[in-house]
Amino acid sequence: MDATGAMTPQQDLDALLAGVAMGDRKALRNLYARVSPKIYGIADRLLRDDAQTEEAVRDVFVQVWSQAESFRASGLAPMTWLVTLTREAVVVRLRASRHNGTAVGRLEIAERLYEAGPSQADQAQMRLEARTLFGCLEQLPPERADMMRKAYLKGYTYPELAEEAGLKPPVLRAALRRSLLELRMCLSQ
Amino acid sequence: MSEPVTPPEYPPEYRPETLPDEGLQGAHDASAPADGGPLPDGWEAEAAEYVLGVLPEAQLDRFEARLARDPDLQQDVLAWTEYFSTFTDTLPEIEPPAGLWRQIEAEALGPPPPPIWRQVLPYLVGAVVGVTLSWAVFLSGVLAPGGAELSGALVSGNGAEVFSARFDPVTRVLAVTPNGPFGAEALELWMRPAAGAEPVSLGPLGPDGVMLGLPPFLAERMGEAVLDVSLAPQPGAAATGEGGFSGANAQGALRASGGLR
Repeated sequence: MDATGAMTPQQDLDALLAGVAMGDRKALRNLYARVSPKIYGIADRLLRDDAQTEEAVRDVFVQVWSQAESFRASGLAPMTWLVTLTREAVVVRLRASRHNGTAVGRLEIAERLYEAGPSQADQAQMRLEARTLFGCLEQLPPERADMMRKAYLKGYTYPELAEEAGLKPPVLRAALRRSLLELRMCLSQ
Repeated sequence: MSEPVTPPEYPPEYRPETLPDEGLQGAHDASAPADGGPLPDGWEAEAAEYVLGVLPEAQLDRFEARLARDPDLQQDVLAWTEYFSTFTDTLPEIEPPAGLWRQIEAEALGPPPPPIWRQVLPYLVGAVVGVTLSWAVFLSGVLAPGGAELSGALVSGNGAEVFSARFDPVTRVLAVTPNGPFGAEALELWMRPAAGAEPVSLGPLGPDGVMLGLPPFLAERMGEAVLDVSLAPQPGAAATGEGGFSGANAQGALRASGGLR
């Protein structure tokens, strides 16, 4: 509860997910009303294909309905759990598209700029964890931070990242792991 | 080849292995080992790789087995999951197309449930038909040629037989009908299963009487029971009514009473 006794957004999502876990259809509908713009936005931005985006969002909510009881055991914040499901639904499609050679073409210029990191205006709206992560990523070589974003958001594997970087996968992996350890140290300070 | 450096917090048997096809040759990165040596450090890096989705498939089973029994590793994975999920924070929210919820509803939930009255209607119809048939059979006497049914009069305080009651033990149907008009009072029918027992409400008794099916535990006691008719309790009425009719469930004045034999 906040100072006024009202539920915080996280408690609200917690309660809705608890309702969904008990088979409450209205809770699922209310959850959809609350979070679907976020989930649809992630899927749309990353997949860039209306049909695949709708399919991914459908998958996410079908999973939420069937697996809501696993949310509490995950230990994650409710929005993180939902974002993780969304990311998995997106990445499986992006990897399949790349494998089948049907991936959307080269990244747009705006997207390339975004991948260098969020703008100052974006940073102002970030949660604390996001600002902390961004601050620590800035201390790494920019291409390493970019690789982490591509791996998480686009599902890039080591061989794909290595090909793009012109490195052998083992070399790239060793370098990225070193950066991840530096990042971990920074985040834990 | 240099010897692997075991991190102090992990026993040697948990040390991740360098994949055979991942010898670190031809390094372009000055900081990367160039001789096929160990990867930079163990489980801590793997937790991040796992969340990023880049942990090679061949190492997933071993990592997840360790994850299942190592609370520190679970903590690392949780923390990385929370942090990396913030990569999506700056992606703009977009309102989904209007029809998407219906598709999800159909796929996840199946067809929407019918309104509640449609859900109970078959039972209500069945109950009404059942009671009507039972009553018809009851009145015709087909089921009780030997006079197995119970009957009696419910008598008012001045000795008038104001209601007739019949009960068929086979169908468990009880019928209570007024012997004449009894005014505009709202009445309630009660059953006292045995002398001294608390009365059980059987529901309102309208101007045309009532016909109802009793549950077995009441039906089997009808032979020694007493039926009472009282004024229906009003909201906020006293717990004990006038006329000597009292009991935990009785709130109105007693109008008539009697047993069926």
